[in-house]
Amino acid sequence: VRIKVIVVVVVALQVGIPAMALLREDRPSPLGWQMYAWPSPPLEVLVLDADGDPLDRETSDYIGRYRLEVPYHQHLPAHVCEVEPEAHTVVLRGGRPGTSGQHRC
Amino acid sequence: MLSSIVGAQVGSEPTAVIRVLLGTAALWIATVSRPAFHELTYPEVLNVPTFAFSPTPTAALVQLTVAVWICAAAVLITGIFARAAALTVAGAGTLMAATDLQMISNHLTLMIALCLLITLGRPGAALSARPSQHTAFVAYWPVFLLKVQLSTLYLFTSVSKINAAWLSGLAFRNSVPHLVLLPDRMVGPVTVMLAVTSVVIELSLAFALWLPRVRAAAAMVGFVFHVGIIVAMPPPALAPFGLMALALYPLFFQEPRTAGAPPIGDVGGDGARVGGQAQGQRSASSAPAGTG
Repeated sequence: VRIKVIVVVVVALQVGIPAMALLREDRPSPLGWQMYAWPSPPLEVLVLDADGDPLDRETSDYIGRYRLEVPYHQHLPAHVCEVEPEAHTVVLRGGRPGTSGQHRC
Repeated sequence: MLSSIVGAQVGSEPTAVIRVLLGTAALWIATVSRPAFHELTYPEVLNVPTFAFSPTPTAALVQLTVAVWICAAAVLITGIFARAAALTVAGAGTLMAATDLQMISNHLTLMIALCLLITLGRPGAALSARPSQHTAFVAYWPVFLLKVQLSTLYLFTSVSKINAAWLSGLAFRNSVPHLVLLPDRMVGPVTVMLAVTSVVIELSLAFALWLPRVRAAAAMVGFVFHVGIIVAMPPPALAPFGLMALALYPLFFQEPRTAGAPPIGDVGGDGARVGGQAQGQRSASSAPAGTG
């Protein structure tokens, strides 16, 4: 009986976890086996100083491993403002839908 | 049906092959993940903690996690203390995933899932450096769960791709450098065809590997599919995923034997048994194969 319970629970997790990930609105989601399912243009980060001039920075300066599953618009602007004293505005372009936008420090 | 799954046995070698290939993939994933994991310790690099209680990535945490991961993966390949090694690899991978959301990838998720699933069986029962632990047969139900894992992977990756963005072929235009060899007017139709074909293949593989009549053809298609992805879509970081998926294919070619044999899989240690009757039957069934 114990083994039967284990089998049923594991199969439920194997089906249920990706099924729930599929139903989420913020896709792609981790643990959903959604490899490459929602292709998006690469994320670009533009950091502007108070005069509106761009700082000489690359997106890879701030992101070690870019993942489409990560809501960068919720985390990256505040982080850039914190580590770049000259930053006045952070512009995000590309990425998954909803990521693009301007953020004032 | 559940009773027949729980009561059946299969040969021990295919699971052992998975153990060896999984350990190899785990070594590979640790190696390719380490640089990005280490970059999280740089102050200018963004951290996105997976949980509110996620540990802060430090150089010591990264080095220790990767070192333990690599050692455990090497031990897993040998088959000595295979369960403990698989659990350790899963633990190290889970710690990395729990540290930062950006470290969670599909090949890491698959590696953790397979490591946990093989601990339900007896991964050291063949092809290990401890012949005294070898048996000819192991319980079928952990093997069944490994097969379900592959099928659900194919099912959900295909279903998630049934959307306009994927079917437009954009992913292939972004990821396959070889397409520059095509004339411009051909790139659009070819990428759309590749996108549709990939959905059909993955959806078919979710079911066809279970069907004896089409199993061999499906396995051939799956092999070409995974090797094609590795060849066409650099970097080689994608290779461990294909390796882990293909490692599961031999399981579908095993016929479970149910002839009165009680379950011999156990949830205890490598040498544990579920009841005296099971122990006796295992000894009897192991003897003819000469692997006891």
